[in-house]
Amino acid sequence: MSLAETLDSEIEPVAPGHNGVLRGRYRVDLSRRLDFLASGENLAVQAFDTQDSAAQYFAVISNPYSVIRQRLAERMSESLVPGMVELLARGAVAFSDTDTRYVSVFEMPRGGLFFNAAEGPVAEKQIFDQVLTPVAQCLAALHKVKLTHRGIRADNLFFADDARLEVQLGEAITTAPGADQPMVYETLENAMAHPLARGEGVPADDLYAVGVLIVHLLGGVQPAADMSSEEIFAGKIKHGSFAFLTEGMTLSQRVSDLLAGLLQDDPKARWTADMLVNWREKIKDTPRRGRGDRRGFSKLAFGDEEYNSPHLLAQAMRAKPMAAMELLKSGQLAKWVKSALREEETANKISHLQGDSGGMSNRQKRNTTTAVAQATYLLDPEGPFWFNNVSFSLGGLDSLLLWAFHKDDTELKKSLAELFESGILLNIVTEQASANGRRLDWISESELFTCMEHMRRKKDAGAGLERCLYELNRHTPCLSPLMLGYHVRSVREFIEVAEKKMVSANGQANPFDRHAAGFIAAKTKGIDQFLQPMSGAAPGSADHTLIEVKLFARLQSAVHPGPLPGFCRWAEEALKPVFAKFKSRLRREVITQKFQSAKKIGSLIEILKAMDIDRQLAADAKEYHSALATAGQAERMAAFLANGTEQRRQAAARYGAWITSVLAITSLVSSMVVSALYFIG
Amino acid sequence: MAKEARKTAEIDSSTGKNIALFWVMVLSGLGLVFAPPTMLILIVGMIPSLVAILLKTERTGTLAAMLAFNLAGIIPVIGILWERGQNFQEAFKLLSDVYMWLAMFGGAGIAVFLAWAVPIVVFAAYELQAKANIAKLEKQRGKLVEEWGGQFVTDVKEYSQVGR
Repeated sequence: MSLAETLDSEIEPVAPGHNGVLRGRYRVDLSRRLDFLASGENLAVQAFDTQDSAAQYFAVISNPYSVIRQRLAERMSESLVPGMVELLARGAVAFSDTDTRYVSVFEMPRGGLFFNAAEGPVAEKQIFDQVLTPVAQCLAALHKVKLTHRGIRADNLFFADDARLEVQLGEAITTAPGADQPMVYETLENAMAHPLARGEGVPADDLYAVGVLIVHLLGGVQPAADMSSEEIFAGKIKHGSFAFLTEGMTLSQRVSDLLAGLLQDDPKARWTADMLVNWREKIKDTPRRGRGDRRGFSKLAFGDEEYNSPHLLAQAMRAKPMAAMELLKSGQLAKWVKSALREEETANKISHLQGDSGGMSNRQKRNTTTAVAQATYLLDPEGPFWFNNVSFSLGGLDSLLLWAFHKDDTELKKSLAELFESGILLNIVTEQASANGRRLDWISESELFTCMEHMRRKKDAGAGLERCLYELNRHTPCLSPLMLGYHVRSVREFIEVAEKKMVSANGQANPFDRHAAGFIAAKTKGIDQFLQPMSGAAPGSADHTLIEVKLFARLQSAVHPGPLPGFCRWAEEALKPVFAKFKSRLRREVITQKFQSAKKIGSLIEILKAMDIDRQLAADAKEYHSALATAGQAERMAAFLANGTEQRRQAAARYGAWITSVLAITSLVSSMVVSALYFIG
Repeated sequence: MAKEARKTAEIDSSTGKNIALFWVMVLSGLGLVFAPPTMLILIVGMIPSLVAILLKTERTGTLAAMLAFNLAGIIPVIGILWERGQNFQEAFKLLSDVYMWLAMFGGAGIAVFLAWAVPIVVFAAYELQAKANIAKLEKQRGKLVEEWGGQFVTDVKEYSQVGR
């Protein structure tokens, strides 16, 4: 069972000892599921107010890989957004020792879903009387503070009351912006982006969705439900959204005017929320209908078709990058842009992609994907950015990265890694910033530069795509296998949960993996001094383990000064290879004894201090070398003595002869002296 | 080079022997003229050394030791001869005394014994000393192995090979 499958499995009932209560007030009942309120990968269940038994709430239990739209959630927490379900509370809730999830509690829309496809179309009067006003008020409130809803669709519209009189929009904070929207609800700019990468978008996107919602409600079925995404996109471009979506429908003049204003393809000409609130009073003239994409004066042949729409041509080029590269090399694209679209500057930039000038490196120029990505971006700058099999709208990169990890999509992750590594996004952002004199708000240069740097050190711990994930998604909990199910969002929580795991596993668990490293590095300053040396040591080696222990010691001192017996037990297991590095038996025993003494305190810092491991290892190595020299010399000496019998024999012969000679001369002299004394004296 | 040095040493040794032989001949000649009984005792007493010279032993030290010991045994006999008047009658009388022969040849015998036994004793002492040193080194190595573990043995071999 994969990680994602494990997370998607059924939630177990609340375990004894855990009340499953949020903020001490909202009790979440896991047994009462409300599937019609569920969003994306999240679950919706009933919730109760412990202080008000009459209140009815629902809770959305977020998947760890789900995006939480923080700014929108904060706005909803501050005060009630008119025309939208009320957010009452949000936060982590413990359902068992091993199951803590992020929960958002909302006021229950008591009347249920507004639209039921089985009941057929909704009357025009009902739409005008019940839907438009609350939706317009909601959007006006959100757009005023530069927020978007991005979840306006028929199945996210509810009756707030039992009498089914008051209509309100559903929540849109527990999934990525626009992630649950059917493709037809998306504008030309966002339509072809990955559903999880549609981005926060602009207020005009919400207004467009309102237009599609009205068509949906009036028609009783989702518009163009039987068409593919490509067909819908091409239809909108060719005929204009209004004409394409309302084809075959009989519309009253006021509905026609309303939809013409809302389904305008040019976002600048589209109605705003304020206009929608008082459209009857404010709009005097019949709005101009959208005509899809701008048209070129002539057509350009690409593949089997001819194109005069830059949007459609860009889309076709994304589908066939090799052919697109050929078109780029031939110079026809630059000529067409210059002559048919009359965009000389864009034409020059496109010609630079095929030529030898420009700011790109030779390697990048040779890269077909990079060149086609840049060309399609220049052709369709408002559309999604395409790179290989990745397609995302402005601001949707972070949620797409999260999605790639959620689905463990190797190809998608590879493409995203190449995207960061290539620096193409950074080039575009820098170019945009210098051209417009302002920075783009969807992703900052510094974030992109940081991600590029992390990808260049992708083999290192605390770098790579995992680091980019946590840098771009600051509110995403740690997705390390050890942390899943605990909704760990800070290093302190990480240490606390890891400690629990260590204690229960008696130190056998591994608190350090690429996710843990990326998460810790993204949340802690100055931790790179520990992570960078890890690249020089093989994972699982003694050196690597020692750095891990030092890292967690640092984290303990910084965020969790209390005792960590579980971590100490883990360190004991993990440091066994380090202890084995001590060659001296005596030193090893002494170090082990010191470790055991320090372990009782539960402090990794004290353990490292007591062991003084680097100095001890250096001394051990030095002494070992000295012992080797001594032993080598002794061995050579023993061998010399064992093989020196003949030499000793010769030496003994020489010395024996010398002794004999001395004795002989002594005896001769003695004989002479004694004889002389005896006979003469 | 080494051959030349050896040749030079052989020439020097031969020259030294010739000089010694010259003086021996001169002294012997003078002795035969002025003290024939003494020379008789001397020549007879020096028979073991003369035999050793004739056998041309390579061990010069041994020969010198034999000459010295032999001479040390003869000197008291010559002393007795001179005390009794130094004539052939006394010389023959002494030569007929078995103790005189024992004194003269005994010195040579002692020389032969010492030349054989002393190197053996010295070698035995050397061997004992070497074995004691080897045992001491083995003990030291054992202590190091006990302290540094089994890998130490392999590393020492590698270290010794690199050292060579």
